[in-house]
Amino acid sequence: MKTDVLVIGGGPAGIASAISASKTGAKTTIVEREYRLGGILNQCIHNGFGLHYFGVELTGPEYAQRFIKMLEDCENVTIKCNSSVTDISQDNNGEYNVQVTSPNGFEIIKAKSIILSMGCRERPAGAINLVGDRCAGIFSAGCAQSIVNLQGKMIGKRIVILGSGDIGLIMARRLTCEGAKVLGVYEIMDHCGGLARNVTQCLLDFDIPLHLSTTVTKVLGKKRVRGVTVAPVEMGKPIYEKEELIKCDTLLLSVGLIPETELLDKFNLEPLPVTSSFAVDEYLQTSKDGIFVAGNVLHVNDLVDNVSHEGERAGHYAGLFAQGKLTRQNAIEIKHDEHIRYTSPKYIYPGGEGEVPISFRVDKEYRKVSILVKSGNEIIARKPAPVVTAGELQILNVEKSKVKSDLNIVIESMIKE
Amino acid sequence: MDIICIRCPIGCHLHIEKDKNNNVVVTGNSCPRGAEYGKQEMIAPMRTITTIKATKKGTISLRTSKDVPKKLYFEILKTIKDEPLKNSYKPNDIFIKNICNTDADITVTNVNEN
Repeated sequence: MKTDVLVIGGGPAGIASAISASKTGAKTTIVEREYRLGGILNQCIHNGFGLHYFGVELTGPEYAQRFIKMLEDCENVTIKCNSSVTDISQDNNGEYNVQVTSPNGFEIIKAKSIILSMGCRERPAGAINLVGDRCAGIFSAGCAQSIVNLQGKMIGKRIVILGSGDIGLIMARRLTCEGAKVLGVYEIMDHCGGLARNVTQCLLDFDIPLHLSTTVTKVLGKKRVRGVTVAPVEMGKPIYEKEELIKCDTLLLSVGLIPETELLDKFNLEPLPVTSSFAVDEYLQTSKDGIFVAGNVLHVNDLVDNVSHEGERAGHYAGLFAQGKLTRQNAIEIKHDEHIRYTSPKYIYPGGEGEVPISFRVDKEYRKVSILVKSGNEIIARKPAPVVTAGELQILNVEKSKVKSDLNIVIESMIKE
Repeated sequence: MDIICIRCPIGCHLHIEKDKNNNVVVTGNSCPRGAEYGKQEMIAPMRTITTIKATKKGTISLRTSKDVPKKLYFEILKTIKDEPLKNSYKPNDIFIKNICNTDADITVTNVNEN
């Protein structure tokens, strides 16, 4: 089979990519390993999606269905579910040969450009050096979400949650609603990893305590978890003298996400170590021509609305590339000060029309600051911010015509010294 | 009363109080939705409830069609659990009409059966 654009992953990033790729006139194929499109949105049954994109608050499945409907209305799109990509290689003509395995057998799809939209995996117990017994009853939060919401089965009765990411907070509420006792959410950092509103509506509403600067020091149990010990953390180290036993039968981990990039290992794409993903230019194209990235596999987003916008950009440019309408120019690297951990994209092409949205995260909370974008000696964009936190993805739009030979993003205090 | 607004991901810090004429005054919001939320939170908190119901082959996911009183949270969840299942569902079906006399319906958001 031949296609212009091949989209790997049928979650929100992939669906939006495929829609906009097809709108450029490119023949587009989207490959999804599950039996249906939608990705993780299908298990996110809670509301809070789509306020930016659609102007209404939707549940995950409702948000997904609106996009699936738009995709199904597109011409030139082939949807392949129950299909896993097992390898990608490039032939002498520069075309990508993508190995796809499905119940119909094994197939090679030839594509001129590829969009990576595979999302993330959850960081498991091993990755955080969790000490103690390896018994049943330890789940990652997203895995628990799938079991409870899609299979309709419960995972435990007395539950401790380690990590205060949004999925952990959302699951604290879900499990309480399903009749479990959630004993507490423990966070090693001194601030919550998830959104403030999720602390309110998922923890405070149900009297679930959030313990900051506290971590699980040991898991106890033979066949099944029978308890965990927790201890306060000072200067990054648990204070074992203050260790306390909590009797529980389940430990949930909400300790971060890892982009699923293994398929691309052989291409040696320019990495972006902070995100464990790839450096991209303003077209969301990696260091290799024709390979584009969007969504959580590029960097972890807070909002699905942003993922959809990112997918639309990647799809548009991948569609143009496949038709020979996109060429690389001389890029400049977007620089930033030490308060900003990374920017995505990393490269921008100066001059031309339109705006480029630049996403970034800061390293800690700042109050009463201005985020400035400088080029040459001029400030070309400015965003005053009463509060910026490490948990919030920041997005600034930069007018391309104002970008000269350099670009620098800095955070400045609004209080003059 | 100091609370965090849950109407959007910004999470504004709202301060809500009654003035001398007993009017509810909200400050700290950055949009009209926040003011509305703050007022409602002072008078009678409302929430959208989402849950699932297990079926023979998986689940259906459900939501209240609009916000319902927070104090009815667990009563609504129990009513949903007690409601007998029909043979089949599709998205946007009404699962229970006028749940607990709130004027909101419980609607099907998805069918998760493979």
